[in-house]
Amino acid sequence: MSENDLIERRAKLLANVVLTRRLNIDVFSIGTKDLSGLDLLCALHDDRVPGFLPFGVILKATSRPLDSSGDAASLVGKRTLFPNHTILMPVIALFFSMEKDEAYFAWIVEPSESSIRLRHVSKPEFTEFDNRQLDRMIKRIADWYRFTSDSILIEGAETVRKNGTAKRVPVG
Amino acid sequence: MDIVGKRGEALFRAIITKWCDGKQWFDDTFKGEKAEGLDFEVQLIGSSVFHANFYVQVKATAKHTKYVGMGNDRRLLVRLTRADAKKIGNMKVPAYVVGIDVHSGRAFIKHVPAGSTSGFSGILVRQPLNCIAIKRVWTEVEAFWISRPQGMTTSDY
Repeated sequence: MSENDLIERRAKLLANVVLTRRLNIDVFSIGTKDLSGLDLLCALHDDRVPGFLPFGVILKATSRPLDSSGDAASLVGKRTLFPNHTILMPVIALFFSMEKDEAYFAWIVEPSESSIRLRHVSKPEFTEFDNRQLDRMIKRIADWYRFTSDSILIEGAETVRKNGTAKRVPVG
Repeated sequence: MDIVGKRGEALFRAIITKWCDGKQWFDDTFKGEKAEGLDFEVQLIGSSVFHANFYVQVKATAKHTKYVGMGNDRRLLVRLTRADAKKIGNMKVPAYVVGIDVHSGRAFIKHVPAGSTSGFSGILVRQPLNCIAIKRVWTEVEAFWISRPQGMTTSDY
């Protein structure tokens, strides 16, 4: 196994470790990154928004030491981290160094703080992924799912499609 | 597997593959529940012996009371059963138990000697699985495989 393979594999392990610090996130590996553009699919458990709350993770890793969030940003450089297709859920990037296991975080698809909108971030801004940042991320994702579920989920009705137009009709 | 067990597994894998002195020393393979107490096979990277390896049983704990004792006697409360100790000891290949505190992310290591007949209820916290331990374990397992008996030299087939 090459050094790059070892680094790529270990980045997934480190992501698993830092994301599960609060014991409220399940991490699933995605076999084919080509299809989704993601390395990991995660599901958040939150008392305020029960259910399966998915978000995606894109991983980057290096054998070089990362001494600051600026190092992470400069190593990513002008390369885009955004998958070349639409993803309708929050997506984060995690950047790891094998040297001291430092972790840096950035939004790639950032949920709005007050609406159901998702912002595609073309220039990710990395910050240290400590417990406070993890908690901020969890809160932002949970809040977004709360807004979203309030806005798009309906009970007692279903949507039918006829002649290319959608029409909502009551159940029963 | 519950979220504590999954985190314990992830922590072990991240710690045993930790880079020390600019390189990775071990690579791990998850054996799973069918391996009867042998959670992981760990291979030495860069060994002079092909496929030099050892086995690990991982014990993760998230209990409120995770430690007991003071000073040099302070231990992480994880248990190796007598049956598992006998089974692992009978293999006569290098084997360890790694205890993991899933809240702090700290790991501690204890050897299960060949011929073991009794288990234990804790691992000393003065035996952390850090870069020092990683290099020592690599060296002692490498030495074991270099000096191992010649193995099965004849067969009817």
